[in-house]
Amino acid sequence: KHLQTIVGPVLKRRECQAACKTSCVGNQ
Amino acid sequence: MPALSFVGRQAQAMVMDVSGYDFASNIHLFSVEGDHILVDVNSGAIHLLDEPAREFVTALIENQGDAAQAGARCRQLFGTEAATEVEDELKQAYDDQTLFTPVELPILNLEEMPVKALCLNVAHLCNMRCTYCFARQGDFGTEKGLMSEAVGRQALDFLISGSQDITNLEVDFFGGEPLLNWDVVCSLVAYGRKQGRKAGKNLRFTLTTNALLLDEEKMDYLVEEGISVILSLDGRREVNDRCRLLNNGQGSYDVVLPRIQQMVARNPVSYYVRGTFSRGNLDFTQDLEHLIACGFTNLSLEPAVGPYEEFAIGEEVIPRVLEEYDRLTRALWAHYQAGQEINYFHFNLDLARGPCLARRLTGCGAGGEYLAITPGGDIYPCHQFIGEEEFLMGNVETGITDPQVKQRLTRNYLSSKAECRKCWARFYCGGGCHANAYFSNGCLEIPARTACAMHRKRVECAIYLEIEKIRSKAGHVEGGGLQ
Repeated sequence: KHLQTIVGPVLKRRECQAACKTSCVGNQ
Repeated sequence: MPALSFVGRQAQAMVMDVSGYDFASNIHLFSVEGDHILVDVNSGAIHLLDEPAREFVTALIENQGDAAQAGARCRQLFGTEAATEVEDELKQAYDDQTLFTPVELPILNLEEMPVKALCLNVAHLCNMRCTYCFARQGDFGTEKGLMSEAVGRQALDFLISGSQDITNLEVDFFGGEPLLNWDVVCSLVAYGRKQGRKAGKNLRFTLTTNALLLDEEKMDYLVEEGISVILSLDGRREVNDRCRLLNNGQGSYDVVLPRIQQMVARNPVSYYVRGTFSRGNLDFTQDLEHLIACGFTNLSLEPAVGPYEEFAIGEEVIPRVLEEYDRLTRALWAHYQAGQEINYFHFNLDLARGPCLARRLTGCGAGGEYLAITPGGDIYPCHQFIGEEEFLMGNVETGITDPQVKQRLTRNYLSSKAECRKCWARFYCGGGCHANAYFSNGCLEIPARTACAMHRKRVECAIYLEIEKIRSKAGHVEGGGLQ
């Protein structure tokens, strides 16, 4: 009722990609 | 300090002890447009809170985990029933390991990290004179010149042989202006594809250009070869033409806009129209709107960095920039609601399919998995360190001759930086930009304060937008989140 979980514990688990060139991981 | 316990339950099994918990480092509670959002940093879980829950968690933080005081404040404001429900739900989230989770910062040895991506500076020349250019108008303060095909081949061989068992490799043609060395770009794409196939590698190419030399033949080639393109344009004509100047001192907007539109109309495998905002256009939401009106949907607007104080975003304008990010967020949400999803690079945040913890700890990988190569074949940790002699790592002909530079960079990852270990946004950031830190503070170990402030704000905005999209798709159904 008071707390809605939108995303579960995703962190409890080198081929991904290494636009900006000035503000280089969250958007991978 | 009393632990958080619950009326009517047997104490021992039902106690959630958060006294002494480092709330500031491990949860983040913020509000955007009336949404109260709670991030559990170590698990990556994200919750939406109503007013009683927000009040309870706020009181818990303010009282260092004293649940009795938090409960009393919640009861006083919302009544006993609501306060008890909130306590029960917080306890449930705690049991589910989605709230008040312990710190997890594994120690990694990144010194043996193989290379997987190159920034290939095929030209230390430019046909423009942008005033804010961190590459100092193309040559990075070093010798002007074009990369030969031979050096380019050596660089690709260095990448393929050094990548060990990694399959997906990346090469960005950069500069300077890479289209000034177009024949070499084409030769290196062919060579990279051929050598990559032999080695069982998948090479992905990107090209960053000011679009001045983009003609139909080049556009067709980029599309046919599946090369991602980054196209530079700052937004409104007067904003773009204040900084992005042709060699004759004239603005570039009227020359490059039609070419960028033609390139995007050809539907390349991936594109971003990439602008820079500086002190001259802190109202950069207007530039985003202008670029959308020009027909672009993949956009990136980045703060100016580098040695030019009249352009770079300094601490004194940060409050104005953060306010503008709020405005930008509202604009993007309005477009989404109108059926037009804009892909804004720094608000890209896939909450459910983001990178693994090890990847998040590594950050940008500069000096390890990511390296920059000059036209003469010199190796630097990344494109922003080019020309800084203390960061010269070697040459593609001789390989890495100064392993200490790699050590210096790869040891300087998130877990080793005191400020980053305490930051709630650490797993969305990865420890920040080494170059920003170095040029701001004279050392790698302390992150750049202005960059951190902007990044934390962007993460908040991105989380808010993702939540709104999830709720919108779920029709605002209770519990309709991603699990």
